[in-house]
Amino acid sequence: MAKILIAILYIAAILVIGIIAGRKVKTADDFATASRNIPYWTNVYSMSSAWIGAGSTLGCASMCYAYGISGFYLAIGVGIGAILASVVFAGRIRQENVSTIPELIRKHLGKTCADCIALLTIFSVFSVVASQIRSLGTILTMFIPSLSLFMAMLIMTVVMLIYTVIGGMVAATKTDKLNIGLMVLSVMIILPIIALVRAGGVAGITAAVRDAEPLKLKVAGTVGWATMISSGLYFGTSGMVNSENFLRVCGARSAKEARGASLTSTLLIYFPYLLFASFIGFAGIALVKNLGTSDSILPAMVNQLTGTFLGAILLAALLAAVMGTAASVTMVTSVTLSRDVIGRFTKMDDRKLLTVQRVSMIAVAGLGLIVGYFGSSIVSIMEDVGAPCGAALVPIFCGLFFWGKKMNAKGTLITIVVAVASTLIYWIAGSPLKISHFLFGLICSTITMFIANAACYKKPEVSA
Amino acid sequence: MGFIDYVIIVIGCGIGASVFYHMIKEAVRK
Repeated sequence: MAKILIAILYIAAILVIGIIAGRKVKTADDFATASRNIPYWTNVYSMSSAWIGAGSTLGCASMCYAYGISGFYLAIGVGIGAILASVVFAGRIRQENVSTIPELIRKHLGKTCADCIALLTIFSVFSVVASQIRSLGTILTMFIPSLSLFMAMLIMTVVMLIYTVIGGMVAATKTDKLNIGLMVLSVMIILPIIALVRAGGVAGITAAVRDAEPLKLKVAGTVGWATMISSGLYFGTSGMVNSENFLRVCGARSAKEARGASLTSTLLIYFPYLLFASFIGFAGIALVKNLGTSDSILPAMVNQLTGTFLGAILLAALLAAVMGTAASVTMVTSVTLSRDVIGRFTKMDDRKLLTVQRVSMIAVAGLGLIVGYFGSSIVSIMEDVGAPCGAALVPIFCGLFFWGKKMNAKGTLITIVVAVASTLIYWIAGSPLKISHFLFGLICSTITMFIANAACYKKPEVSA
Repeated sequence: MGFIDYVIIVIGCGIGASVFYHMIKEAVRK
């Protein structure tokens, strides 16, 4: 009963905050970027909430539960990627005064490159929409086990849609404060304290792990250095071009604030959160024996170590972690779809664009619900196929910001084609070089970017 | 519970305190 009550309270709070804040939304820019006027600390919380999703919370804990100390590579790889994204890209992106990634590409490299990037971005981010909606449903069924997965996914999708369709980015940034408060309280304070006390501290945890599975105490003892470095590089570089936070970076009041808020969010909240989630998974080796699948270590620990009321609050934090990311990726997909796909075919005034963004959001979430429910394998395939987007974007972003003069439409188009072809062919061939297909595609596209852009570069004619 | 355990708890609580401090400060300023 307490679980159901907490779930209802959380959902009601999200809706009230979102709807009240959302009444301020009047224009398409209010909806997409909160009129580029998000206060510094509000943006810090919002960026953290968008970054922290099912992968960061359940994934990090699961890796350390399954692989021990070696499992920390996921947190370290993702964390370093986020720091690089903040330091290298955030300020520069905000300086461009754009709202979407394709808009940025169109501004510098023309329509054809932007169209290709728009399609790749939508495809890649949509896979995250579907997986986050599925995660939302899965967590709600932990509160109310009598609910079917589809019904739980439907309820959470409707809740997410109500506040985001009304309030867009304005509502998202306000509700993110509640989400991040719950997440920090649960994953960085309550759960570690409970785990440490129950397991007899770090000494007790290491002693228990040494007795049961000593390899889990050795760095690279369970997965090997090659996998750790390859996967760490994968998560680090793919995290550098972060679609989830693009709208929030664009919504900052200035380039300096965008960079500062992004870096504060990463160093103060996101990176420590990843390490804490990993630590909880590591403590789980000592506390939870014989768990069927490592993915459910965090909910299993909540169930085993806490009472009903505290457990319900901790589960609400998991719901909050996924809700922020789900809302964020759905918004990115719908804004990109409205501005960079539909907007290319029909001219729209501000009022119409706002309506199209809202309708797109409902369509994207509806499709995400169907794909997320009926095809968990489709979602994982889409995530794999979404890799070319990252492989193309990382070198193009670096080229745009640090090699701008030489970058040209033809060279970039060749880079995109090579990124897509090399990633997919290598993936279909079964990743023969033992590195991920994303990393292979990234290496190919980076080399191509330098060669193709240099070869296709034409010096601008100087008028007399 | 040893020294390292308290360090972990202090870091977690410190981050939590900082997050809530700025959240309340921003709300009060409005």
